[in-house]
Amino acid sequence: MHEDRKMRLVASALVSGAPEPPTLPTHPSRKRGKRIAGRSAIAGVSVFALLLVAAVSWPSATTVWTRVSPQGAAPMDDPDRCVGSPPVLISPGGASGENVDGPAPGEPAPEPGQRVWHWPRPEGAVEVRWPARPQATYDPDSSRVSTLTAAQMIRPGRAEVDVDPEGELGPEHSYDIDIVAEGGPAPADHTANCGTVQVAVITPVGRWVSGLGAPMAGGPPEFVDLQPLVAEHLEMQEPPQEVVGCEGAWDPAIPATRRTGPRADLSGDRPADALRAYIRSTPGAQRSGYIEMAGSDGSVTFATRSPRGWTALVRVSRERVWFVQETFTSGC
Amino acid sequence: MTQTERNVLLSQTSVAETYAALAPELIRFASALVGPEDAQDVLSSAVVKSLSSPGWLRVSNRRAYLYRAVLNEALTHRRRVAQRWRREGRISAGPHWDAPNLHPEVRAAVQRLSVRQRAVIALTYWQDLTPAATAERLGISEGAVRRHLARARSRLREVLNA
Repeated sequence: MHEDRKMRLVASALVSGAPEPPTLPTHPSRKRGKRIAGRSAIAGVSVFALLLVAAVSWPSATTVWTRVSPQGAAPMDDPDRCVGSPPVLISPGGASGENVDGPAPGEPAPEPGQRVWHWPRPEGAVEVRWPARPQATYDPDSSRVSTLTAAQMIRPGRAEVDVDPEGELGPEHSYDIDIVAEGGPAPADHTANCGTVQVAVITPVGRWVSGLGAPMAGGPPEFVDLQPLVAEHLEMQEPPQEVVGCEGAWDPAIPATRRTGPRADLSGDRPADALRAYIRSTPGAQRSGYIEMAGSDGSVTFATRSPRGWTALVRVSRERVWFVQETFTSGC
Repeated sequence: MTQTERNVLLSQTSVAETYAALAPELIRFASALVGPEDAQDVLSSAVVKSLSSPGWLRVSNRRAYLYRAVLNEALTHRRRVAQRWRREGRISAGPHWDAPNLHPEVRAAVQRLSVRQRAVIALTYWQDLTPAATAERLGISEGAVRRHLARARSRLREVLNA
């Protein structure tokens, strides 16, 4: 069957199950929108309340949330360490003209030894930095956290990223930015972050930042999470002891939760170093956004959570160095 | 009846006629983007936002404006679902896009398409619009339409040719 004919069948199937259109509001106004939002908010609050009731070991009312201090951001301490060409080649779609050396307008100066160039766009820019800045332990500047989302498409040898700046804005602000990332030459030095480029899409309504890592054996470039390892610090009388169980596992044999004991091999000079060792040794572990909690026994717990409750607890203790004392995670 | 009241009435009559004429195609378009289950919510929100906009009365091409509003609302919907999925991804299933009348394999392939790719497929292969007309309807460039279409075809080719 001709491809166009098949595509028409797909399009026909896409629209054929449509329901009846809703009735037009009698008096369209902002109040109508607010009423709908209000009802949604009421429903959302109800659902959230139910989730809270179901959650296990949710923080008590005595907890205090604070933003962590800028201290601890990993410095780029080895200038001029990357030679040759970047391991990932970036081609922003729709960019006007050639790339320009230096940071995009309003973006920070390059770190020592870091090369920066950008493509100006009618509104904003696409900026590339190589090597990427190492992942910070703590959030050095919360205002620089990405506010845009991106759809990523992976195919052999390349990754395509659609960044969507619109959302709550009106249709007149609708536009998209495509980036094609292709594998380049192998990095000369894997240990100095030379295998990762940092890509930023800057628009008037927000920015999107991600790392793109050197492809393995002709595969597509890999997305590298550059968000800070620890997002928040939580003061609480007793760190949580339980995690929510897995629901909807594809295999009933998968346990609802998993617990491991002491791992002396997952260690480091600082608590976060032990956490990094755990992440490196655990495929699928969340790479950023942990909540840090200090225990009364001197231990430190790093946790992730969902609306249902805690989903991972990594407790580290200190003897000669910091090491992973125990982990407790949802099972799937 | 004052002149202002007459203008409001005329405006509402015009809106009602516009909506009555476009609602059947807009609900199908919304259904193509987010599935029949969420199509009414997406269309309702898009229409309410459009009619609440101060610039609505100055819009010259209301059909294109409403199509873009539906597309934007669908993108917002997808983002909310994706955010929910990211929060709960480690302990629950991912976002679900429903189209019960599609073959399961084709449905799985369509589910992996972006909202814009679905929009371009619907307008190109259901409404038979040219890339230029699709671009005008969605408020994007003609090149972007061709790019989205090529990616969508590439994604679907594997299952359609099986």
